[in-house]
Amino acid sequence: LSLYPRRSLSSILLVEDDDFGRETLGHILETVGYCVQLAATQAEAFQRLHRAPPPALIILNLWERTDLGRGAPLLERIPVIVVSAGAPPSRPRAKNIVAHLEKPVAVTDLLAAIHAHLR
Amino acid sequence: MLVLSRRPDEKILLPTVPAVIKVISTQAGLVRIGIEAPAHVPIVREELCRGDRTTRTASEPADAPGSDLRHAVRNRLNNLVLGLTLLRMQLGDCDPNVQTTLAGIEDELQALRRHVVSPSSETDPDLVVRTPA
Repeated sequence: LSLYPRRSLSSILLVEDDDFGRETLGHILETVGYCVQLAATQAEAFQRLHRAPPPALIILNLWERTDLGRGAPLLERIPVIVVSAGAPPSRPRAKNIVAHLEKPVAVTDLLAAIHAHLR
Repeated sequence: MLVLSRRPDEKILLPTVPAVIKVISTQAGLVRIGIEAPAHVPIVREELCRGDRTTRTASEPADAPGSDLRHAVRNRLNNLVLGLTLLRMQLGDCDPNVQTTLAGIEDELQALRRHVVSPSSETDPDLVVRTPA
């Protein structure tokens, strides 16, 4: 975990409906040095996305929610990492999805993906 | 028993749960109902209470029977891995015996991961970040 430098200014929106998973991963990301916003539902995620400033990266737990930024060019450019227990849908995916990690995810893999795709 | 009449797309709210019950569609002899509720709230068909099948929570999608179990196992395993990772971070440089115990639990989780979970065959190879076995 110490391989990744602290980027305290980088904000991540974590969308996860599982309470324990959301809170625990949020704590881990904060401990590593990220500023984390949590959302349990799509509605919460929408609210947080449209606040300024928008997050630098989004972590989503479901493929069905990958169109969160639809209609907002700025939000559509935010990189999205999908961490899901299910396979991706057959329909075309959003262009800003930069990585997919299947649960159970190794935290080091997730941190590496975040580090690689944060602007 | 409270009896309410609802049309398709109309809802019944249980604000203290909180939960929403929506009539999706109706046809002769069959009503399709959608239920939104917190993940920890069990939702069970009556016949399943007689032991035919397992309980489904609101967060688990209606999918093929095998994928339900796989999905649930992946989610629970993920929470265990995250919890253990956070615990290790919170403990920091703790007693070596505690470190040994944690390492043992992590080994067991990795073994469980290898035995129970296999990568999805439908995953896009351009996106996936594989976890070493």
